[in-house]
Amino acid sequence: MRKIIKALLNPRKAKLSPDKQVLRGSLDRNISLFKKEIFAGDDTVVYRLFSTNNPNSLRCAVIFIDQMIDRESLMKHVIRPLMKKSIDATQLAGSIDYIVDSVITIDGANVENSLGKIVPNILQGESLLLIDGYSTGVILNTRGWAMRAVEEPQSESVVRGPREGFTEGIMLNLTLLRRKLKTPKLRFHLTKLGQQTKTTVAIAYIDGLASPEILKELNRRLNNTQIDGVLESGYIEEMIKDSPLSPFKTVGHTERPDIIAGKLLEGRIAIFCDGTPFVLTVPFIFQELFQANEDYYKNFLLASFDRIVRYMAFFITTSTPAIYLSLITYHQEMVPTPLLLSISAARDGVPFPTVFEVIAMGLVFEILREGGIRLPTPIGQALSIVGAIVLGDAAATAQLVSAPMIIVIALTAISSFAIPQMLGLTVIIRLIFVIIASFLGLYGYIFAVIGLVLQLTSMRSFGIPYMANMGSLHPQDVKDTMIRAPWWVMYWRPKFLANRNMVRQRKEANR
Amino acid sequence: MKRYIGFLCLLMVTTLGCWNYREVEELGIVSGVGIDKQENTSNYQLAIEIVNIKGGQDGQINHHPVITQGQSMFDSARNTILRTGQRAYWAHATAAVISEDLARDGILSVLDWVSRDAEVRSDIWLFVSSEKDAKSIFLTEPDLNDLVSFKLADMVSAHNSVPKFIPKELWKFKQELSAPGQSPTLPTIRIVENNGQKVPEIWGTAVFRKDKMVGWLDGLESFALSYALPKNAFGLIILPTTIEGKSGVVSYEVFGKTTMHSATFAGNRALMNVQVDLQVGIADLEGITPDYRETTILRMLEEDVSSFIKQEIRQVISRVQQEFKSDIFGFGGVIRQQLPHIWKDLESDWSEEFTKLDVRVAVNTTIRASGLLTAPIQMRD
Repeated sequence: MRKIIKALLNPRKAKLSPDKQVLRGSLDRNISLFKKEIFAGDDTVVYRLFSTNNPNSLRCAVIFIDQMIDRESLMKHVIRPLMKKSIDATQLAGSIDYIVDSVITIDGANVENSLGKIVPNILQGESLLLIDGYSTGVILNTRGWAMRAVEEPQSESVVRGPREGFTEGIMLNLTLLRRKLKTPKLRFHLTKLGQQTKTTVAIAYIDGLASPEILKELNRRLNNTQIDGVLESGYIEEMIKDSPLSPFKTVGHTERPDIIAGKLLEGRIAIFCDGTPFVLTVPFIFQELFQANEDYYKNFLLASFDRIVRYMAFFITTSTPAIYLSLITYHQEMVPTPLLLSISAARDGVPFPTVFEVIAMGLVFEILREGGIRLPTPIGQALSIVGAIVLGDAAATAQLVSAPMIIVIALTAISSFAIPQMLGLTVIIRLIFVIIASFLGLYGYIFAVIGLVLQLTSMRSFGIPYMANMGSLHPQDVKDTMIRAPWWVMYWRPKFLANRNMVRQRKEANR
Repeated sequence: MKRYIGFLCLLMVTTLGCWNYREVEELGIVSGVGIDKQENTSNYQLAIEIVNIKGGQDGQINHHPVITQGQSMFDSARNTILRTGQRAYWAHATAAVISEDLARDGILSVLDWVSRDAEVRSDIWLFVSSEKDAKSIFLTEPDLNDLVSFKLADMVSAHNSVPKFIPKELWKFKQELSAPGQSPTLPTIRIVENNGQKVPEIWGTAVFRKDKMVGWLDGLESFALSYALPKNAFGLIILPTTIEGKSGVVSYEVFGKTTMHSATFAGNRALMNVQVDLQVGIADLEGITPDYRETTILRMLEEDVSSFIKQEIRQVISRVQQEFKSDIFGFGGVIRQQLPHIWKDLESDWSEEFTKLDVRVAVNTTIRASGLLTAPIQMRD
């Protein structure tokens, strides 16, 4: 009984694992091996049988998966040369190397006989060439499938800057990066993750800039991941990230090749994952939450101003509801008299306590936002009308919510959009601040802020302190935090990352 | 155990209820208070002006005085609950008016609660009512969306241009009360008729010795007092002037004023010097057209202003010295700083010594401007 259950749970174990099998000498047996065992019941696998030209007609077969290969190159470079040529048994001399060397004209062709290596390649869009009488096959590089074109990423649009973004194909993504960094020191290490998906994962870094310790640690963490499928880089992100319970991200992600290139030049390491345009970067520290690629392309004064605005937006979006709540329900003496009177007038007749108002309105906004994200555009407009009119205007007119509260929520919402990297994160911080402030007023708010700072300063990303540079006053540390210094004074790379090769540019060179 | 500490802290905060949580619309926001003694008893009677807020789309605030009694200041303040159902919230009170009777009896007992209570601010403006009680000030009818106390605060904030009273915050009054060689003053309020409506007007100064009111200076004397004190005061100086046989009135606007007090040693007595420097502009000529481009005429006008201010200041000083015997100028403090060896002898009996103090007043005026007209308007046939 137990054996049956075990066999049902592990159907693979009943038969001989394909990893251990090898090709046979007969073409018919090989084909039936694929048809009856390995790809049994899979109708997308194509078996094309043909023969080479007379007089020494050899029976051949090509096995591939429909729509995953480039049929043109298979036909032109494999099938046509074989069918037109007559191959003499003496030329072959017991090995099919002659065909690889002299007949087929495709760029990639490897002779292989282990099914453990052949099957994954077929699944990735390569074709297998079999010849009757030989127990080895040729794996042909015929990969080619429909892919999205290189477009501007919707999640990170810019006014000024390159308009290309990564796509779902990893090789194309690596090319996009390689085109920006034309140095032989740019290194790509390819591995596979996921027992079932066999997703290609590439680690990219610039040799001599990236810290070898971080690289070692990253490899260790990647090797330790045991998971059956990696469908998106988010899987990898969660598996390798520091402070896994914290809402703050310690691994960065982007869809833009220019951002990745910039981060690699600072000594960071990028992780590409096949099947997603989102590429990860490590280490990731707090200041990067406030950086945008456009900062580096436009005037440094405007960029610095935008940075400061983002930091202010962070403060506003996390703290406004808590501070408003504390002032209105605990510290009325701190509010200027006319403001207090107008708030009091607005609150007059509102049935709910202020705490409830803050939390409920915050929740309503989050529902509105969450509802809007995945809706098709035409319905999304209807949603925003309902949100604006019903929640904004009608709720205040009906005195279910006070008008100042709507202003506070609107302010928080607008500010949260100024820092898109932290969209989900600020909601959590805001909620914690509001709850503690509702018990202890500003006193509690200050406690919550202290707690947040403690949490942030204790975090690390791949050994780099999360708040690195935030407390420093050294000009070369400050240059990329609250402000973006002009390029001609950014002499050094971030010292905590690229400490082996600090000099970005020579001072004298710009004089 | 360690891992539960955070949880325990959370439990302590969340189960002990909300510290001091109160909704803003449930507060009776006090804007000002009139403090009286109830007739024939030792009870206090407060006229508390509570801001009556009408909420909704077109929210408005209304004047809403509540009269309460109690055995002490705090008792009367708390008794508002019995009349309004709201606990009075004092943190936004801007004005406290004390009746003259109470001021003459001594206002320390009033000030104790006002300064001890955590809600009342120490920058609340203090006044003395020159009407028969303080209540009547708050029973005047202000305009819509206005309050008596806010109106008083507005008057105080603009007082530099009309220095006919000297505003005083609670903390400043207490400081003057406890400073050696200094007596406090408070501005006084009276009710005047304005277009058929009774409105409060701040006019004049109540002079205190220790915490008891001893006398009163009217608005014009307060004007002179402002110029005698080392503080900002601008305002207008209106002078009947006779030049070249013609007489009329000249108004001067004061742009800048500095007053320096210094003590010197003359003979074996202390001598106070009050040095006033005025920067004025000709603001208004009525009845005469002196050509002030002429240096001689300009000097004459300047001399006119100086002698007028000098005379006014001397008058107010001698009146305070003779009638009130209260050093509201702070001369004692100046002597204490500059001639400490003399102060030791004077200190014990300062209110008597103050009446005999020699004060020398010197005024120096500069006419700096004449408005938009560089010369008087010329008339020709």
